[in-house]
Amino acid sequence: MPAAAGKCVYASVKAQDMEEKIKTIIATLDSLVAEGISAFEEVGELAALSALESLYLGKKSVLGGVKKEMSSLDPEERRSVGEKLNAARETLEKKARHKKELLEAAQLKRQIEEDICDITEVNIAGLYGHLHLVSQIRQELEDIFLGLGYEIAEGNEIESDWYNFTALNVDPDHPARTMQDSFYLDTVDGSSILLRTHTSPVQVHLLERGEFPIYAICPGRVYRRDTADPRHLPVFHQIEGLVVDEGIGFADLRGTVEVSMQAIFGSETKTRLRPGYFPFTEPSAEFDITCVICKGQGCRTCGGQGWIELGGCGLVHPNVLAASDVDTGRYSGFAFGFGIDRLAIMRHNIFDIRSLIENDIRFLSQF
Amino acid sequence: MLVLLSWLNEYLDKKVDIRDEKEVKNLVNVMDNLGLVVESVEEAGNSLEGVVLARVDEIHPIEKKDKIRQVFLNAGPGMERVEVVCGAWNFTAGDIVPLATVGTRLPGDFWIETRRLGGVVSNGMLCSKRELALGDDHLGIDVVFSAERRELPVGMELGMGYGKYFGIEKDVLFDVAVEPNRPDALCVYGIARDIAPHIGAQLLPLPVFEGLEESPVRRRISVAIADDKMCDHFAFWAIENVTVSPSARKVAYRLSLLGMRSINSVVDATNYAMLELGRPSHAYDMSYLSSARADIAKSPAFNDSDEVSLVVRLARDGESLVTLDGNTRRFESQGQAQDPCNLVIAKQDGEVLALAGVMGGKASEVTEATGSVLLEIADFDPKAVLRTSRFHQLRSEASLRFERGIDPAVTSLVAERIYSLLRETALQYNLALPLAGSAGVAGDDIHREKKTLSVSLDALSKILGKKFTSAEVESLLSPVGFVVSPSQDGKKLLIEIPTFRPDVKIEADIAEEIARHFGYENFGKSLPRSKGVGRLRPYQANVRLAKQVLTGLGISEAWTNPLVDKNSYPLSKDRLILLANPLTSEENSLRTSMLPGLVNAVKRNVSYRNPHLRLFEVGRVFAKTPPGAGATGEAKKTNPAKSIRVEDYASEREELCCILALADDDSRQAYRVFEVLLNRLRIDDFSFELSALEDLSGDIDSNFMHISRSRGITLSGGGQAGRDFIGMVGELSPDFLHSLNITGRRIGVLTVDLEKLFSLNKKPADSRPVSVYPSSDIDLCFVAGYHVSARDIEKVLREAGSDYLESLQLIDSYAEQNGQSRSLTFRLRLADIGGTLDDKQIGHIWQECVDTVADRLNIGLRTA
Repeated sequence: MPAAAGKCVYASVKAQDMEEKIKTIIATLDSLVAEGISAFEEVGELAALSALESLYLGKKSVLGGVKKEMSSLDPEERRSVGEKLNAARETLEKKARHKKELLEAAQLKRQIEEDICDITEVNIAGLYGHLHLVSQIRQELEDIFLGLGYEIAEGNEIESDWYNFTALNVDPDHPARTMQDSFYLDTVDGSSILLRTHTSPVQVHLLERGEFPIYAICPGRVYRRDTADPRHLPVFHQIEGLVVDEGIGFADLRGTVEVSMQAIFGSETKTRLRPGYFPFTEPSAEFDITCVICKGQGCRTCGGQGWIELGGCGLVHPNVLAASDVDTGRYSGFAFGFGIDRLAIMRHNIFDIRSLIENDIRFLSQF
Repeated sequence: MLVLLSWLNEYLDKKVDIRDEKEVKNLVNVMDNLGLVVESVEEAGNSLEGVVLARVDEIHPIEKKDKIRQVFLNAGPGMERVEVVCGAWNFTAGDIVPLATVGTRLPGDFWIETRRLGGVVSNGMLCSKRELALGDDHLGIDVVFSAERRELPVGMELGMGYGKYFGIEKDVLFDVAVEPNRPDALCVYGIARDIAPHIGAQLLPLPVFEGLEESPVRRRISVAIADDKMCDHFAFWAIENVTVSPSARKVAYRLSLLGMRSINSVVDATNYAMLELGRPSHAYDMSYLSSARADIAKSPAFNDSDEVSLVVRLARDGESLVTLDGNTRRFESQGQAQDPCNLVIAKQDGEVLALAGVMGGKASEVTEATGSVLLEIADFDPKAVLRTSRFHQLRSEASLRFERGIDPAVTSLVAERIYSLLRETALQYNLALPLAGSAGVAGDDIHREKKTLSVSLDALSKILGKKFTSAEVESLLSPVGFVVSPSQDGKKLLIEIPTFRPDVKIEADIAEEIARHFGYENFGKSLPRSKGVGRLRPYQANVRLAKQVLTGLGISEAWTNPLVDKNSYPLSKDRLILLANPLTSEENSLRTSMLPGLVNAVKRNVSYRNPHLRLFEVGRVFAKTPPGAGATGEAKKTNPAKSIRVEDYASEREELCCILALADDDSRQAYRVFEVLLNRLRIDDFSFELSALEDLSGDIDSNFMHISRSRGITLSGGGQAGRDFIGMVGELSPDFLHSLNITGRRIGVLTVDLEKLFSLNKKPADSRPVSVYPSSDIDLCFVAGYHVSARDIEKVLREAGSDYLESLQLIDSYAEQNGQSRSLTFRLRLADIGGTLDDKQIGHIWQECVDTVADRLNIGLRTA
């Protein structure tokens, strides 16, 4: 602390030499300002700054002493000393204020620097859950067809022989109808009630409803008597589409299959229809898409073909329409279908389809 | 179906070059696009390059060796004296034999090199048929031409390639997937017919196979058909003077490439003709068929006193047959089976000889001892064959073709083909020529009238979305056997369906045929759009929302198997639906709840050291309909098949099941999940009741639940308790956890019937304004026994606080010393829309709340 600050006392100054006195006062003020500025300059902490403020600017400070002396001066002198005094006070106050801002800013900066945190010290386990991959893909597919104005139709998993086979023009001796291929329920009276082998019974219910046109997809779970292995499950998911309207033809089928496949697999995907056979469609076709792995160049996934067989489709067989009393003179339609699980394992390169049903959280949480 | 390219080429005027990869690839593409999907293409066979025809000139013994001999052969110009050491003894000087010269690679990657055997140089090897991959014959060298015959046959020269001489060449083998509606493509000729127009070739007409002598059959043979629905016709031929031998080399070669064992000249001929023309046939040893005693030594000698009398009929209970594969087939009562099966061919006096269209019998098998043959070419009912084959779980190349439908028009042609093969074989091995003649036809005439379809061009263009002229239709269909003639006005086409296409019955079938040959890929594309708005139904939207909420609560979606094991099912078994034909005993029933599956999922994760997780599933659960509870006498529809109603037997519903197994999860967490779900679904919190599980025991399966920490969820105001049960919330009982080896933790459970959940009362749609004035909080601390729930108090407080109650929170629960009750502290935030509530008003509300709770629930504030 500057030595002069506390020791300047004016009580001893006598009035006999006023002029001298004023000079002394002014000189004192000048040196006080100089001294104060350098004191404020040097101070490094807010507490010390506030002590300096009261020392230089408080009631008991030198400036305070000078102010008291003022009453003993002539009005003329009083004014000039007063001006000097005010100027000195303003200079010091300004300096103190400035210094305070600086120190406060520095302190805040220090505080912020010390308030350190590693934002990555977190544990997100259990914070969110995962939708099953099959659900995710199903929703994605549903949304694509909702966009084309389709409705989503669902049905029961237990069906009668009529809805699962007969109404779909499946011959009574078709292999799918044997105990070998489909799961039948143990009914008291031996009635043929079974776990649906495809989502097509939903189509029959839609046709029976008798409201046309129909633009619908039928996603859902189906059952077939296949031993579980890396490529098969006895329980899996399918999605089928059904359009019945006036003037629906083969080109509509091709266009719809292509647009929906591109929506799912990307706009560069090509589709191909090949003749096939299904009892419920005629003409029938299998549809292929360009391999999702090699984009059609040929790789191991597609067996070097560049194409992957994805599903079946065709124009709804007149017998199917007739079985549900649809006016075949007026309406025609197409249907298509494919496996959701198969699509999932293909798109995500899943080795073993059984992973989908094991519910291992290490698998579920990947999607 | 396996097909050889060389065989297809025999019926095409323009051949596909077997060695040209591009041409082969193009052919595969053509077949794929025709729906004859090629599942694999591989190079097959061996042209036996280096194996030449050589004449044995000298045979010398080798000193001290009694098994091998030194042979000198003339293998044509430049190789007039080749010395070879040979261990076979079945030839003599002058015979023509196959010589594998040095540098030859025989099938099986066997290279021929110069060797020394018994001190003698051997510059090649004489080959057996097995070494040439022409069958199993390894008894000796394949003597091509015997010395006895002196002059070489026309076209044979020493040094000539063995393969070239016998038509054995390197080939390409296609594995073609033939769809069930394409019986015509189950033979070489049919595939050739389909592909010809697409590779710029003409299908060659079926050759006339000469030589089936219409020699009068002196033997008396008769065949009766017991039921003409089972067999349309049964044509039969007698072939006498047969010497059964190995097949002609090319026949044996092709059969072996196609994975069919070469058996003998007669059996192979029937198989070869079937592969070529698609029509199965069967050869019987005639001597076994005669009514004379079956154990008489089989003799090639003609004996016209033998009489053969056969019948095509259904097998009778108790009969049996040993089929060619050596298995005994018993014909037992078929019980409930309504459709007859087991169509057989039997002797008139009873003995069953063959499973019609499926497999012949061992006893009447054609063997080397056979001297005369009865050849059967029949048209059995596809369904009869299908059922017979299914009944015995025996599928054969023949049954496959009968099931799909055979071409009746080729009956005679096939007989001629078989006979020509037998003649060719006899010539190749220098055997006596067989004599054959038609012995009759039972049933319909084999020449059936062709069916015609009248098809309108308009209908075709409507189906296909593209106009075709009658000329275009004709150019697409006539190469594949359809005869197309336009009607006078040109609007209709009269189309004659070839007999090999029994599947073509209606306009749509013709449309497919046109589309197939026009090329599916040559049609345009258009995108029909629904004129309606595509949107989720409220139920579907709610399911999606619920799933979103649940994943937001850290619950992952699982998918468990709906097929469960009834024996180890932990829940009540009386409503389990059993499968009539489970695949495994672990999957013999349908779940009544998803909980066991989810518990197993937790267990699995525990075993992989991930014990803390939350899972949910949305899926179907099933229950058996109790007898008598179903049919309510609704008038049955006219169609009896349609009238079977699933609900008379089984019911199913969609449920949500959550299992909460984080470290501190319990019944309260489960209830919390339920509350959040209700909130997000905007369901009124008090539109349901929580009931003690004991009260609901008749309606729910709760024996695995912790009774004091779980509640049943029922609809409010619904008459008797339990009638409107919609779910359960709580935790698994300690003993259940113990049985799963899960200890020291609680597992929360929530199950809800989704349809019922979504039907609960919705909160009012109108918004409630929020107050802009200062609010005040008051805390109320009630003492309550466990018979009163926090939810009960909350319900009353909400009612008492009415519009002034801005929010209500349970902020503390403190168990009293006595263990019978606890203090529950609720914080009520009070505010008024119209202004600031003053102390007087607040006091009034306070009093109202305390009084109503006391009144309704008989509990009071904590006093000390």
